[in-house]
Amino acid sequence: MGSVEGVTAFTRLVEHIEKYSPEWAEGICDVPAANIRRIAHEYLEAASVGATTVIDGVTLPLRPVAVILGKSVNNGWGAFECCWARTMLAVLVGALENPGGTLGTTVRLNRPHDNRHKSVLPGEDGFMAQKFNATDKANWAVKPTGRNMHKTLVPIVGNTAWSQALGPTQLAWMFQREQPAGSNMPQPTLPDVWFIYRTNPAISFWETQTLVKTIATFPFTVAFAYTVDETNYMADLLLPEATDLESVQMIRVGGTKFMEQFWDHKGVALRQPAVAAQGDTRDFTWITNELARRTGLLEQYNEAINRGAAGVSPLKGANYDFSLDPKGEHAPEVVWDAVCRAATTVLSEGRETLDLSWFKEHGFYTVPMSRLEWYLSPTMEKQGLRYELPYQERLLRVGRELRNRLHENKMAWWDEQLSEYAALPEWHDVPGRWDAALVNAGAKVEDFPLWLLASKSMQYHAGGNVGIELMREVSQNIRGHAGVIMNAKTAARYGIADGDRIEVRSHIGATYGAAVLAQGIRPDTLVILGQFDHWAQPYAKDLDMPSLNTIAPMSLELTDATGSGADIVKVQVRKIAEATA
Amino acid sequence: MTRYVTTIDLRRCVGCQTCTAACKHANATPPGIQWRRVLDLETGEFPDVRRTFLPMACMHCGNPPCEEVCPTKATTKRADGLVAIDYDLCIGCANCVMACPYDARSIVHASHYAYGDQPL
Ligand code: SF4
Ligand code: SF4
Repeated sequence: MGSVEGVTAFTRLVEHIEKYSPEWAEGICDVPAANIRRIAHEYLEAASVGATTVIDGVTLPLRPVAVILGKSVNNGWGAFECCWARTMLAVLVGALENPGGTLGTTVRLNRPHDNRHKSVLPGEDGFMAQKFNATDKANWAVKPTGRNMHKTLVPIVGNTAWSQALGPTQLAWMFQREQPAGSNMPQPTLPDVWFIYRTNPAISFWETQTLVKTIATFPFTVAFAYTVDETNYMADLLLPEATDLESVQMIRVGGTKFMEQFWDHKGVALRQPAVAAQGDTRDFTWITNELARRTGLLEQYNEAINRGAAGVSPLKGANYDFSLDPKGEHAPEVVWDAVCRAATTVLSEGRETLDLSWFKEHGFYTVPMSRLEWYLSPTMEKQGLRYELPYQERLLRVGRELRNRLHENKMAWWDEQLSEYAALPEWHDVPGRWDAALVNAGAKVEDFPLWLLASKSMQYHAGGNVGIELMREVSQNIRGHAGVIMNAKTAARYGIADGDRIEVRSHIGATYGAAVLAQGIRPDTLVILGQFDHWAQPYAKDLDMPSLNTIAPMSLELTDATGSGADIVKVQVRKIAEATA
Repeated sequence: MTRYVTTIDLRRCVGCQTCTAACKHANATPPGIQWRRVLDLETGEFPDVRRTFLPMACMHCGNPPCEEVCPTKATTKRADGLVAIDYDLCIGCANCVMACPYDARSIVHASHYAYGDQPL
């Protein structure tokens, strides 16, 4: 055996990062080098390196520091570098997945969805096994398996039900319209039948009007709905569904997923009707039962429920069996009764079995859980694994393989995206990408001097909540919810006063709202809370909210390697009318 | 005897307004009436700006000004510390609304509804 010389990943990191000094950073952002140094030292001090805490008899590091990324830096170009840097900061002080350090850096693992610890298994190279989509010659999916091409283009999102959400959702829409130059991928077809359940894609992507036009061409759309919205407005078949307050369902409560490390109990809760279902609506379990029966899929449907498709536990395990007869028809109450029994048997490890009538009276069932479950690091240690930072060799390798596969198939249109497959990220001019995209779209950079970003207001800006008067009222307590947030000095330059109605225009369209003047926003940036252009959903459609989605383009050159884009668009602004008293 | 007080840890409030929504929901207050509001305040000038969240609710004051100004004794501080209103005694003078330093009192003179001018 010969010997090889190497350097450690941390030596490589130190060498790599040397050129990115605070003084260098000061030159490309507004933050003075002295502030960057001060905050770095504060972070280090707060990390209390060396401190420990004991949880259920196990001694763990205590690192009460975290960096939380705001919206718009963790999607699209630049997100890889931001997320890498944020996670790296945690790694450097030993905070990743340890007590104190779990705000924002929690490692998300999707399989199995109820216990991420079970995903921590050694892979062939000593890091955690990852179910990437294949990039080797023999197994790469040269022919896309879906309209968003995640299996072909985005190895790191894997190939589960979640992959579309984690990966390139908008490609499916974009490529309906036009294929990238030089693409030799098959032209995506329209879906024969399109099912929509509790989602409103017609307003949830950029370039809303084009999206709506695409949806309108779908041959047959089926929507489950309890209210009119912008997508089911175009449905050929509407199946009236009862709301959550009118139907039965068992849901998980407590436990930890990838972002909720504060539960001491885990269990299940029964959602049951608080009022009788209105009009012609039906409980969703009734609807699915009927669909299965009428389409001749009853057996497969029952078997899926037996495997745990109702979302809690399989109905049959080593020491229990509440499974449904696959050939029979089962009323919703029968299904949920079996789910209640299976869930309690599993949670209590066989100590007790409780049925639907017990849940109707008691509502929920929980068992205590150890806080050790909050943190992944002890499990990593047990498996002899370490985190794949700072040097991401595997990412680099996967990217090279993908490049080879694409080039072998004469596809160069994903080359920019491939630049993100780096073991250690390099800085690149992220804002410059937006300027270049403007020029390529035939617009002038100087005509669109401001940035428009969308932000979120937790429970108020999205989904069905937008149509609830109570939520709307409370949302108005949140600064900026009423319109477009704008730096007060910038506004003065444009002659815009607080409350004035303004037009925010990009190269593809305009949106309108009231100016909300603030100090805590960059002078070159506008922010809209929420980004959904409601025109059909009752109540929400009359709120006259500005919307980023209406004026942000869907663009391949603004799509990153994961297939994601950012809620960012370059705009100009002008006053339309004085504030009304 | 148990004595109740209200405490709010301003370091932990993230301004989510969930308490506002929960209070409105639990007490079915009419549109515009919030018994627990959370102020979202900005101080300073760019780039040195701070944002503060300030929940404003009845603090069940030790020496409540709302009780002192109430001409009918509709507002009284109970032995357990809670400041309560007897709606049968209230004459709608709004003295308490003006007296409360936390802006916690509100008064409704006419019915109005969430969706249109009729209840659903
Ligand atoms: S707004 Fe209310 S619920 Fe939200 S953190 Fe503050 S006090 Fe708690
Ligand atoms: S003065 Fe205001 S805060 Fe104090 S007890 Fe009365 S209503 Fe509550």
